[in-house]
Amino acid sequence: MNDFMLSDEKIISELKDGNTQPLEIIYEKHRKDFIRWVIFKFNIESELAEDAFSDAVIDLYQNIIREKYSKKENTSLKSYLFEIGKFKILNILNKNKVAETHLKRIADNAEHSYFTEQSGLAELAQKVSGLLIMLDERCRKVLTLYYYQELSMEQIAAKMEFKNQDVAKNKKLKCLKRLQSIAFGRINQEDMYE
Amino acid sequence: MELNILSIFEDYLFGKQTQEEKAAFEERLKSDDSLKSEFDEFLSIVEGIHIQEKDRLKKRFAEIRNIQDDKAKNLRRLRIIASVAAVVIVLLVPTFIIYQNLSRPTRLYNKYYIEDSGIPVFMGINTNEDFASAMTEYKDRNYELAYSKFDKVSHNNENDTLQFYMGLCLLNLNKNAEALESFGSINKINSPYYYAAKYYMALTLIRFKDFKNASIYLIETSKCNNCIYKENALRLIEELK
Repeated sequence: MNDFMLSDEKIISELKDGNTQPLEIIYEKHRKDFIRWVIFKFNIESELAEDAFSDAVIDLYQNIIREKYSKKENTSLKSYLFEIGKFKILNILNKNKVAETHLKRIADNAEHSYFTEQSGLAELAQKVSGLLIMLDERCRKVLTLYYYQELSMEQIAAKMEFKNQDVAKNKKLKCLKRLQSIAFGRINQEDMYE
Repeated sequence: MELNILSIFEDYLFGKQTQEEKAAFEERLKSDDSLKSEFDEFLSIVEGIHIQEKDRLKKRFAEIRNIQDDKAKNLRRLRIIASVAAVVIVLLVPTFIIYQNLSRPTRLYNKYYIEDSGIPVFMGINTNEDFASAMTEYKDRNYELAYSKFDKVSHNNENDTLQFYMGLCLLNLNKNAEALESFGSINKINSPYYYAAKYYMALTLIRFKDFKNASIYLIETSKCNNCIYKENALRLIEELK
């Protein structure tokens, strides 16, 4: 897919369906405008602007799949994305203690770490992310579709061509256990040779 | 991790619990260390999956960024090359055309000018000394002096020979209008200087960039038989087309 003319609605529907390719289109389509805009507005290094934009696209994605963005806010996807990016830059620059504004609400929705305050677990999460490579492709995919893209088991079954959602659910459980075994050392025969 | 526990964790994580269920679960976490530990493990796995997927997306974005930047660089390079080429064309082409146009008459004149070596002068009783002196100056290419001497002789004895060499002196002195007048006065077809005069008139007119009339005189010149000007006249006619 390389269609710059995709409507916001179509992009949202594709993303909710677990297709991340529209994210690449969003990134490619709006990157230059955003970088130009924030460099002009905040007089920042382009590298910082680039990082903020990448993060903003990812956060936009999270907000969409968690239903925290909807067109009824009367904001185009681009404007919404730019607002997230703008907030990220303000945050980095620490220029602005943004109060309970619309902007902060958007950003708060986007910022999500399950345990940012528990640094020990954050390190563990980093370790787990590095160990994911030890799972086979289908396992990684089923876990990502479920825990990151938050697709339903029914959607996962359709997308990954499982017989039904129960099969998909079973596969997810086995993959999760395998990852636990690798990460936390509780290896058993079943997990190893599944 | 038991399936029912996992379901509770996931419901909590995805916000599927009611307020009461959520509060009860959080209470259990506070009092049950084992559950808390299991839940932390679960969270670290989910967060690990998030980190990994975000990294993948960022890597993909970086690839897109590189492709976009490369394209932009190539486009910039092409634009610079195109701009330079445009400037070169804009500056050089008219300059070349102007140069060609300006230099064309001179180039043609120099290419087709045939130097007349003058006529022999024998000193004797009947020799006109002034004419002989003028011709000597002409042969020595002292055209200014030669012209004044030919001119002096012409006051008493006007003829085609004098007019022809006066014309050549004037042509060499770049006095083109006067040269035309001298050559133009030779208009009898039986004059030995008739065709030569027409040929030099054509060259003089080329200096004036009057190629049309020059061609007419060249056509006239080309009618002469066995004269050195004919072949040049024909070639020059072709070149002026």
